[in-house]
Amino acid sequence: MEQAAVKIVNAHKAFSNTQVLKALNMTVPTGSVYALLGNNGAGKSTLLSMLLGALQPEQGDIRLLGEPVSTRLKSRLGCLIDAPAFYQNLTIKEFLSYCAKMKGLPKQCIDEALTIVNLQAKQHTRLKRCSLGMKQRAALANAILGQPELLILDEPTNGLDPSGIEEIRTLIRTLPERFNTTVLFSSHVLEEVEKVATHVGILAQGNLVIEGSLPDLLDDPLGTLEVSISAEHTDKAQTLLSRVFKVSTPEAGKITIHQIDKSLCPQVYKSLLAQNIDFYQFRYHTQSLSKLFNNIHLSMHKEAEYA
Amino acid sequence: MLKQTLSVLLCECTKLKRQWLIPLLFACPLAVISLQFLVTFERGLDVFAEFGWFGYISANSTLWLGLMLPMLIALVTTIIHQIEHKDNGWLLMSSFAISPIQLFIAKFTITSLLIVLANLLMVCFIFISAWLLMQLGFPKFESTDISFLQFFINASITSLPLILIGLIISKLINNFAAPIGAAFIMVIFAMSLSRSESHWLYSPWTYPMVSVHVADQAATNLALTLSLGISVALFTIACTLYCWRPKQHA
Repeated sequence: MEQAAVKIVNAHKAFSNTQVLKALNMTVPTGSVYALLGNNGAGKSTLLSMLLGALQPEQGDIRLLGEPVSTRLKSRLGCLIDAPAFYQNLTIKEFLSYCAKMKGLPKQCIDEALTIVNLQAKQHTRLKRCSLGMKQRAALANAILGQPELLILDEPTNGLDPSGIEEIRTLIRTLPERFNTTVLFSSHVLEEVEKVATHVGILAQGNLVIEGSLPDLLDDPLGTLEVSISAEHTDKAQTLLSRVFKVSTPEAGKITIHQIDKSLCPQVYKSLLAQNIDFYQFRYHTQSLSKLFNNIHLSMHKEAEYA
Repeated sequence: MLKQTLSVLLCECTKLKRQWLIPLLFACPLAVISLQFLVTFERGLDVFAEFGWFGYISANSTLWLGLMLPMLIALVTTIIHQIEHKDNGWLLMSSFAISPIQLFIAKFTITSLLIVLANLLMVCFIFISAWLLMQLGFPKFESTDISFLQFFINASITSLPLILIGLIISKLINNFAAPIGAAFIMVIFAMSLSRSESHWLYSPWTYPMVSVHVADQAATNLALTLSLGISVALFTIACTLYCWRPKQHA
């Protein structure tokens, strides 16, 4: 079996009296783009800082690329944690040159990184004069210097403009194939995660409540069918469909069929036509990441209420 | 290990680019010399004749070793650490494959070299100002009881505990005012303490002055020995401090 790029077993971390991470287990498969999701304060940054060795867990075992976290191991990692760190008096190129020297990398990799993040034209701009987006790109350039085996990114598209966001998403998506890099990133943007990630872990109340490959997590055979019908036919359609399905009418002219198998949709379509019911929209959708995320938080909230 | 530490040292030098440190190193000794030069020139030859070149050099070194050098050390150590305190520098450092001790050694070496450079500049400025005074009609420069080489070496050695104290305080406290304020209080305190023959050894801020000024060779040796001893202890404390990971919030 292939070795996991990140393997965390039973990690605990507390600050004063607040337990931030509780018996956390996590596995990031090699070559994957793993998204770590969680609300503010869920412990994402703490977890990522622990992976870099900036924080120590009170208990548990953390292994990156098959080794325990150590100074030597860091030469195989790239990272962008929290607000990007810079020396404002340096230019972008000087900053990257400094980082390359600290990582013991040759100068050629600086130009390569600048090209990848599209910053060649601005390489002589001092960091204190850079926009947030440019700084974020410079921080990403530092992270990918020397094509690390594991890339750890904390909200990598923060502060970027829409085209920048798209570029960085494409970059992250293609990194495993281009450089044989495993990417672990945290994000608040669920749409971004759906577009970029191959694997997802959802962190809530200090624990990873769900983890797996994105297609597996969203693979629910039953979905929702939304049909927009002319207002005068709503009752007729509801009577017809509620004989077989679980139906709701959130508003006049709109019928929602819950937990319906995709294969039954053509049948519904034909039945509506046969009954001369006018409809102008027919939309089927399965479980989305946003729904999954919300359901998890809703159930955790209810559990907390009952407890 | 040594090669990597040297590489970290060079990287640390890169960070000083476009910082105020280098101009400060020139400005501080220059301010002391300018002040003494103007005072000596203003007072004229009659007052100068009383103590001669010994008086001129003593006045310069007292102001330098008693006030300006400790304040400069506090400023330099604060700037060296503020570079990291600002904009998540410590987190960036923790992402590199270098040990905290290597980082501390690099920072300590750079600070020490900067202070050695400041002491060297001070000696050079004393020579230049003496030459200028001679051009203005003051007597020919003659050897004094203060050896310039001894001044330079002793001042640099006795600066070590102050550098380490400055590095420890500025690592622990993320602002400019606290380390500089603490240094200022200690300098004022040391000014009174250095007059006492038996109590000067309780404050490392008196050591630079004692090591250069006091005619008693035993006191000079004690100041140097204490500086080296305290430096070893402080170096160990500072290394431990660098390895200690502060608590952060989620």
